[in-house]
Amino acid sequence: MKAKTQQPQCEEVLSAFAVEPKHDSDTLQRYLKDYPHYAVEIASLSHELSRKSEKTAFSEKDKNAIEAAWKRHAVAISTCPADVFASIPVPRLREVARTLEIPLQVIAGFKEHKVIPSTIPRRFLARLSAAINRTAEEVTAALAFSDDPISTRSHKSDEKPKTVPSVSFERLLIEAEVPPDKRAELMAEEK
Amino acid sequence: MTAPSPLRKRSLKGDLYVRSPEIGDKLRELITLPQGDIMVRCAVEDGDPKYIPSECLMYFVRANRENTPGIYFETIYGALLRRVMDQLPPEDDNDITNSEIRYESLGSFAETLAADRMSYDEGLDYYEIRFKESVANLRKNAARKPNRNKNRNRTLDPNPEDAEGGEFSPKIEKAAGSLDAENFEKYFGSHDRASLDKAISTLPELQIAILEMLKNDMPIDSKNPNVFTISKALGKAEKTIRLQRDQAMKKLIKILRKGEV
Repeated sequence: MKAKTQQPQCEEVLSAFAVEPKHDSDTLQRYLKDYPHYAVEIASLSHELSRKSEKTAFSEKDKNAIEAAWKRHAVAISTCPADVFASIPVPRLREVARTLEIPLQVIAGFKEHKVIPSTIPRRFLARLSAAINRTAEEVTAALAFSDDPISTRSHKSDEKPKTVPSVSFERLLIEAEVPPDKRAELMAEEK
Repeated sequence: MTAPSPLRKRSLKGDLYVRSPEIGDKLRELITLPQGDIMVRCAVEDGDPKYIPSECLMYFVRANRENTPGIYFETIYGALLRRVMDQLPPEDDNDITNSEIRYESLGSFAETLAADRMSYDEGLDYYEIRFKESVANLRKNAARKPNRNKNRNRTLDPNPEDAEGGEFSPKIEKAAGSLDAENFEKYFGSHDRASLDKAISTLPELQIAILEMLKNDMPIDSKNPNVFTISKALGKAEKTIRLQRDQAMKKLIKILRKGEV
């Protein structure tokens, strides 16, 4: 049923409730009426939101926990290249697709890390990198990390990371129904 | 960089979230500052005009996603994690549960932050909208884990050597049985708020929900079909609600009397 599929997840509702500008009786009752399935969670979060934090001096264990988190983060930064596509909003990706004269689906293939980096012609790679203000090395490094679980880790811990099948650049063009002559142009190494 | 990038998360109604005007203004002011100034300001306490609101700190850490680690990033990252910790239950030798919630929440936050760098996580936008409240949601999420109260119950169960021998006196029974929206404040209004809230947080989630609704002036039941009652909100019989409320009250009175919180 339509209504059922549109029902947001409990986590979404609770996060939205948490950032409401005001937490008063009216807001609470509005959420309880709108999302009756999550009434217990909403009302108990309401209690949590009303609690004052007990600020205490940091213990050695606290300092170590922060230090350990930083070390893990720093290692992740040094070893995993940034996902250069993730931070580009969709309208900008459309523009890039237009500039490169390719369907948005091809760009989506890059964004989803579906493309095997070694199959991308250098000329196209250079054009794509320039279009998103990156170096070719940054783009290939980001794509090469497609199998890293961190890149596909979800906000929800119970959700399995998705495995993205890799395809060649040419296959991606075929799947996006790029006409053969255009395809040949895009696949050409030198003009 | 002259303007902070907009948030991408959409509200339940489908509108894009925007930062509050105060946070937006502060962010526009802060992003013009050199990194050295931001680092100095990370040590400034709340109340000082140079204090960086946590929502802004969250923005700076996320905005740095594509840079390599260095002293600047280490400073703002550490400051942000301390802000998270400030909102988590303090370590407590007598309550293992609180310590578990503290470190699991911090770990979960740090992990999400690391993943956000690789692939933008809209769920982290909430921290740029209302930071403290989003951390409250984070710690509640950790508290909600199955078996979370296993250790807590061990310390809070009635003590067999207690003068009451695990039984409740008729006075407590009476007090519990008469609690409703009208007299919630009468029973608990004068009590130290932090201790009361802490005691409530150790109850089963259904009981916390019932007490919260009572506190928000919702009646358990009503003859008027237009009144939104606790019974309606939870889809449970009035009798069940009263039973749960009574159990919650007995436990609360016991905890507060023993000064276990």
